[in-house]
Amino acid sequence: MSNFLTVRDLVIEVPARNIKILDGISFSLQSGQTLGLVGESGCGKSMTCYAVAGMLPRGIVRTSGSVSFEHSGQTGAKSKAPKIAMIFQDPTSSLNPVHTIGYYLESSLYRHQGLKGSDARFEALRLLERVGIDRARSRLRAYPHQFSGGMNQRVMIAHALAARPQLLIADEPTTALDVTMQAQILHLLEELKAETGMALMIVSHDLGVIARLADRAAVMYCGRIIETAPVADLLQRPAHPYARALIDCMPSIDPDDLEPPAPIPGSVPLLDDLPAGCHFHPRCPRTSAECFVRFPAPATIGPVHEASCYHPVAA
Amino acid sequence: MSVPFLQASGLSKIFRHKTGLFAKPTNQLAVNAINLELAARERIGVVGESGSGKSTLGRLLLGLTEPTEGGVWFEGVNHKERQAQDWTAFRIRTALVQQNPLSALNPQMTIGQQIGEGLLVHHITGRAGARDRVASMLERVGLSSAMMNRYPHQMSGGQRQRVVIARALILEPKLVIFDEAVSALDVSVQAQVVALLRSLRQELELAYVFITHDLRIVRHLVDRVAVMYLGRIVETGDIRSVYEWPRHPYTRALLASVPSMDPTVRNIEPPIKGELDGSILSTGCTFRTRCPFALDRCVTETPGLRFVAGRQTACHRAEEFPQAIAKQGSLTRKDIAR
Amino acid sequence: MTAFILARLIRALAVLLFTVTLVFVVLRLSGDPAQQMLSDNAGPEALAAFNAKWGLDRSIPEQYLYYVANVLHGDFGVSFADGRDVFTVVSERIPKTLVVTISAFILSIVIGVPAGIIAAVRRESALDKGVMAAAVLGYSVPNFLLGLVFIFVFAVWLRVLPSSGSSTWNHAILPVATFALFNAAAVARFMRSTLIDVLAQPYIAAARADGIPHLEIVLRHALPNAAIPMVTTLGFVAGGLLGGSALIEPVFSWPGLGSGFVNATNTGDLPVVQAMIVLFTAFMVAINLIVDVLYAVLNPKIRKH
Repeated sequence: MSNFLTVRDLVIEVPARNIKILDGISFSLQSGQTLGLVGESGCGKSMTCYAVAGMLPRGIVRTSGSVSFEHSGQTGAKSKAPKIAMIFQDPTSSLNPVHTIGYYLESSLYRHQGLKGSDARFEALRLLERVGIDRARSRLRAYPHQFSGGMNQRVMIAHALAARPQLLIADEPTTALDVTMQAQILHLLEELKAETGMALMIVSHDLGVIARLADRAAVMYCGRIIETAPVADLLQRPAHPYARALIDCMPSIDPDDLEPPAPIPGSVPLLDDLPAGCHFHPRCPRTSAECFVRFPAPATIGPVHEASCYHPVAA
Repeated sequence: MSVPFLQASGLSKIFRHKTGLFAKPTNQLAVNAINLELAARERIGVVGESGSGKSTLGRLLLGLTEPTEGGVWFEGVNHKERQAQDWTAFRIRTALVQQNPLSALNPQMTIGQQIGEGLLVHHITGRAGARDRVASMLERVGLSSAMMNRYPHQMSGGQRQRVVIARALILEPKLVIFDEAVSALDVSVQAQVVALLRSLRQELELAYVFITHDLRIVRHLVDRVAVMYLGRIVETGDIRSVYEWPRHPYTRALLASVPSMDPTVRNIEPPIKGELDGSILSTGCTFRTRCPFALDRCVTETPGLRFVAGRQTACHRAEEFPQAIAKQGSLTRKDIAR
Repeated sequence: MTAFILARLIRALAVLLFTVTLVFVVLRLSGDPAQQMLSDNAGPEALAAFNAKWGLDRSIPEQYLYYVANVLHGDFGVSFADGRDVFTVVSERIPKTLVVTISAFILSIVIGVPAGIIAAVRRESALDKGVMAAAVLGYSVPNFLLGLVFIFVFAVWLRVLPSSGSSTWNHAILPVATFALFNAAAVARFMRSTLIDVLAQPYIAAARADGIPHLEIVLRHALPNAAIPMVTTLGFVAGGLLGGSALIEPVFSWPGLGSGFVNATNTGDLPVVQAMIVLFTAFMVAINLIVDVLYAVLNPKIRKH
């Protein structure tokens, strides 16, 4: 099976400040699969999403590497970009306050499916109902500020579905929501994935969300991917010390888990002041001389499991 | 008989919203007849989702807002009866740490100035003494004392939140209210702040109320927990026992909603559907509109908090719930080979 | 919405009443009108006759009540200067002022709004910096000075436009240009900063991520949001135009309310001054009311409340 999405050695910089936001990341995603991007603030996971969607903000450029797609149904037309849709973290501020929900959905339906007038309205209603919004008809005329965060996130998902995407990119889609709403949205995403067969790229700092949705996960640190693995392997046998430390510092509700989350010493370095060699070495318990000199190339841990470390933790 | 350290009794707060000049004002019952007691050096968590009233409760406890009914007593004195000079003493003995460290800090003042301000304003020390105390406080919260002259924008989010904690603790309060104090931080930074709070608590003999929506983090910080829904406490007790065997449907739903780190737990129905409905129900349990176990009795009889299995819970059917909540597997960090 | 408008209307009327009262009080305290109007060596009988004629011998509260009652009838008394009905004296000047201020208002929007949009969209470019430099120049120069400069350049030096009076359309060009340029500069600056704020919002980034073309984002997604605070700004501009008329009209001898106000103040023509102040206030209050209503109409958060 060929890869639906291949990102190779992608470098993204802010030339004006001489900072590399992504410093040569590579990963692939197969069609219908879900990739989880894990990391803390500033690791570059959101920017990866924008790069894949082809929507880098002003002042940020791709200086090397590539993002390429290969998808069926386009015989010979490998270069034609697939449909990609994106949903964001704070749903209410990602919706334009002066546009009605109806306008928002119908303009997407027109843009992607060419629907107009009553056809568009009918489809908009169907989408709203599909994402679990009741009284859809009256919602079309309403504005985002009249709804809760959970409802607006559903609206954003409906809007994304209107594009009939082959890839949905979800950047921290449930972080701003209450936990009971989070469970509902995650379940909705699971259902939609199964129904439409779309690929999903989900970004989260919450390993529980990644565990639930992702087939594979990539852990990012300071603009690099430091480990990629099937999600069960990552959670049970993490090889990179940072991945391991990140898992160790996740709190849990299990009352038998008596140890408090283990803090990682030190703090995430700023992108304009990165340690030479492996960026994690100042905080790593397993360093040796070479860690200070050159960033480690990905080491094979398993058949589809890699970690960029000179001293990966053995399973 | 000793005086309870912090006590809230029959505490209610109604917010009135006027939607138009001639429209009838709508009432929002943010906090509804809450009873709460906290002993000195005791730690309690207040968990709930948005609209639960937990933040309002925090503000009521600190006297930052007045209750519509009921009262709050701190060391035996009701807030309503507190005199002006008493309030100053109260403010010194209590502290509030809120969510967003960037907006809690003045961008125009150095962090040293901000931490030390309380000492100077209340004439506890002079400038030299303040500088010394600030330096030692910074070290205690894990920052270098050399950072005294830095400005908030020169520090990371985690560092700023430590500054906010330092500022809160420098006057050596006996009661601190934390309102979503770690929610805006990265996971690894949260872990650092949790470790900090655990160590400081031993040293400073603090009692605190930790308000949060994060059921995972609160477990490591408190001994007791109170779960709030629409202004009421629906379950409260020793946190371990509540988490091990929750006996209110809302608590069970909350715990079941927390995403597990077990990748085999997928494609499960969400424990509760729908959203919080803030309309004030005239009778019965406030949770009945979303409760999968509601009976006719739940419509007519409001369940009060009663003792069941060592904790208090407000559900008519509390005894019926089995231990296992709908979640397969319980992979935790313990299962990761070390 | 109706409740909202009604509340604003009541507030507007209250402001008007307050102003009328304030004007009355201040002007009565400012000096003896009889002394000002009649010559210095007028005898006490002449003064007494003057006072009796104008009702100035009654008590202040009485004068006030008569005044307010008359105002409500549109009767502002007669001018001290030529005995004509004040209402007529004032209202014949209104069209002249309106011609110039409305044209200038429209012109300043037509120039300022696109300039601000271009500057915002092409931020940090040479175009942006050029537009902003022009804007700074435009409103740093006092507007009456600008007027004098225009007269010098176009009327005296180049002799293409008349310098004073109001008989032909040509006469209106310089006054309108003076008013407009000054305000266009302010409008351009506000439009730029408002639009930059809106373009930084998350919903604009979301629209870009949807692949919506840039032009559509600016016109359909950003501008409707930027219009909301702009309405308030334009309200200030409109009010400023009105007040500015007192400075600019005399420069061009344009016979509008502004020059009328200046003349009446210089000659101590009390009833005319009072009426003009009330009129200016009424205009300002009306502008504020329109701004408030427009703001509510454009902003769904208020409209749908």
